[in-house]
Amino acid sequence: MADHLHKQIRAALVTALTGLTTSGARVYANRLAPLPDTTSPTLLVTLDDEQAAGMTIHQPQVQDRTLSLSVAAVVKASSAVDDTLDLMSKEVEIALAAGITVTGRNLPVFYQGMSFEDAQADKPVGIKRMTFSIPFTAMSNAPDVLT
Amino acid sequence: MPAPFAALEARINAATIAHLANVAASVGAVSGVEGTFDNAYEDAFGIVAGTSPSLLILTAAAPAVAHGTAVVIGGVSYTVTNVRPDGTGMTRLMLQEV
Repeated sequence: MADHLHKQIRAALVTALTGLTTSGARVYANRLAPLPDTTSPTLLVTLDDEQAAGMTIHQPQVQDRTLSLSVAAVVKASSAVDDTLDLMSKEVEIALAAGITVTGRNLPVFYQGMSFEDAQADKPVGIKRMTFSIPFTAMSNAPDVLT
Repeated sequence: MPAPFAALEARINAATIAHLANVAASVGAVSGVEGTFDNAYEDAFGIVAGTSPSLLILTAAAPAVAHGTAVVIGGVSYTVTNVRPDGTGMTRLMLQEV
């Protein structure tokens, strides 16, 4: 049995975002541990929620699902934090514009918007959190397989 | 008119720095400013590790300090991001690494 599609999608997102010019290999999925200075600039991938709608009456049900996720660009630097965040978001949006590949199939990734926060610490810190949605279809008894 | 409590405040401030100063900093053009340097851990947004550096000094030791003043402590360069006088003769300088 394959991994849940959530895990497959998360992995595909990390693959698509790894190697971008500004963040390089510093891409983490569902990271909880605080980021040290050496990890800046960073991308954090988090699956936020999912909405599912049944397309059939009988079980097992065909379900149209929409997964909401966020990609947070995180920068801690002495200067140009906002400029770097804008550059990172450009790179992320371009990297995901063509969708991601899961088990050989393309899933579209739709940009939904962003929010921005910054804070003063030993160096300025900024986070630009971009939200995306991914629609896909799966059977209720096979959440590991795209339908 | 005598102001005995003001005199006591001044003595306490001076004693505090004399006994608790842990650095001698350069603050702008003034060198050898004694103060208490704090640099405790503090993360931002719960996900970015960091510290919150500050320097507590006698206000009279660096009266011209302002946002943007350069501070050097132990060979590390900082910039003043906020000046917080307590109104009794002590000032806490909030710092950012350069």
